[in-house]
Amino acid sequence: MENEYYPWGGEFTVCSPNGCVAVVLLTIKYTPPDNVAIYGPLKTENIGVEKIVANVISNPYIRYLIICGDDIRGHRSGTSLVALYKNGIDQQHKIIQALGAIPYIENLKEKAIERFRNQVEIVNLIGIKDNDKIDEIINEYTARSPPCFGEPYIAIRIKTTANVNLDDKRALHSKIVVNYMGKVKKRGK
Amino acid sequence: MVDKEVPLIKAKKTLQKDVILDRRGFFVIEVHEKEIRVEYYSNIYKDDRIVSGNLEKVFSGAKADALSDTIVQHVLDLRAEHYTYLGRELQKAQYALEQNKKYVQGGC
Amino acid sequence: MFSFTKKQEIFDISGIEIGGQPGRYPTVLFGGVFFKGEPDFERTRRHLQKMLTLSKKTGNPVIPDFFIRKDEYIEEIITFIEKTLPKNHPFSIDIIEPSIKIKTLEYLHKKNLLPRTIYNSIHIGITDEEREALKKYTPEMAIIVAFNPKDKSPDGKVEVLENGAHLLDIGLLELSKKLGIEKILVDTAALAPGENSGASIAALPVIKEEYGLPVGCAIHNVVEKSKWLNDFESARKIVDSSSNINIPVFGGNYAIFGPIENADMVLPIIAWQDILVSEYTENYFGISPVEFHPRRKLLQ
Repeated sequence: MENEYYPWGGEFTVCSPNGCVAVVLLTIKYTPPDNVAIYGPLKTENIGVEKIVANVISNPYIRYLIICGDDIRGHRSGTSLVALYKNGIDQQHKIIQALGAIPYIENLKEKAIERFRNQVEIVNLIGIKDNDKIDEIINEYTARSPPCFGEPYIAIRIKTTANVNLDDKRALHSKIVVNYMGKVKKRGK
Repeated sequence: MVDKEVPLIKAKKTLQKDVILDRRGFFVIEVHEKEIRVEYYSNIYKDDRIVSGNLEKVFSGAKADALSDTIVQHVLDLRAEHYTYLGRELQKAQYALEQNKKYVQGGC
Repeated sequence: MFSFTKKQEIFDISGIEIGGQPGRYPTVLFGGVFFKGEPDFERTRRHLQKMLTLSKKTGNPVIPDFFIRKDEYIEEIITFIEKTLPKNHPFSIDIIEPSIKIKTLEYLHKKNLLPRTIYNSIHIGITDEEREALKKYTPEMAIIVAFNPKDKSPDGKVEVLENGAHLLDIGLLELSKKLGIEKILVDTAALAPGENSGASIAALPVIKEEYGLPVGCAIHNVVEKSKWLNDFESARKIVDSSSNINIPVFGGNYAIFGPIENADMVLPIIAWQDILVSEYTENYFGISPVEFHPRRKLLQ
């Protein structure tokens, strides 16, 4: 099932598949230890937050989401993510009490957000940049060894599709044209 | 006596404040370990403002020319400036991928 | 059942002709020997005899494909070739290890056998030493495997022939010319189930139209790797032998059909297919089969 993890793209590094801690990096110079499940930067308060939610709920082993570093100016993505966890979204799909400019969640269903709020506990280290301190906190939460939350929740699946799109349905291959008798010619001649 | 006169036009970047956002949507370009991913979103408006996007298609490739050609085939009716923006950014992304450097998507 | 617009090359290797428009020449069949364990010369001699007899009956030319797995087998296998094959009959040498390839070329040159040799094969893994050896000890004909690990579609195969597809400094076709080998058979690289094996068949008419060169492949490899056939043990030989009909149907000129033991089934099946193709291509395209074609030999 591991290849279903983290279905939405984004900028992140995958470490330990059964790790229970995921780390969100705001403005900070820090590389988490590799016993965490996944870590990466957060930029925008709309799609950035959505990607984190979709990717986290795909791995039921992740139970703690640590947010560290200084919040992104203007976007306030870090506090928006915390607000999503605490309050959810309103009828307009806007994160309740988020301070960012456009904290809208448009690609995920209510169910996915509920799953996120139940699956993880957010550890709010916004403003903290001390690498050693964060390492310590990560290890503390990792040691708690919480149970797996259940099955992966796949909110988005990016499927490969066939690329060739020919109007000549009887073609064997794009380089040749075969007429009804079997005469082969180069396509385009 | 001159047979023909042709204007020489000095290039000038459109100012950020004058840039018209494309009503057809926007792109997010990410450079991963071995490929470039381009996400195409259609705009979502609230009170006449673009607040986010609906993920419509994702493109994957390693070369700017292949990605450009494919995106042109799959995302129609964008503003001309949007296609040229993509061309520039994808080339930057290709260099970043090849030279193992960080890619930061530019503004329009 | 195709007819190609591009002019088709026909190459002669020591009396056997390979290539041309579908329906003109019979499919040439390569039977493999010595690919497992110690070479069993007596057994192989008998199978070779059988295959040659079948070939006389149906009209399909046969070429033995000699695997050489170890240095110490080179001399004895080549001696076997000299002694057992009919006079001047061509053969192919099928070697993976480059150092063994080089030693074998040298020995074949010593024994004056290069005019009868088909080199199996030239591909993107070719080493510099191999190139030098081929320049010095040039075989009469070579099989070029259009294998492109980055793109298994017919496009990828054409790329690697045309310009090396960024895997080699030049295209495989140009490379052969540089090495002094004019007679080329293109192998469309059938490898394993799940590796777009259909593309190796679809590539046959694409490459014939693109370059006019004789084409074929070892579709047997795909059958061999089809583990699910273990559940159908009694059908295995039939599936293996008949998989080769894909080649003449799609315009191919030769098949590397696997172990020589299957010749008793492969020859009649391919002869039957060649007859079918010839009936159509003569009727619609006016391509007349040569006098030793199965259609002339087997139909009254």
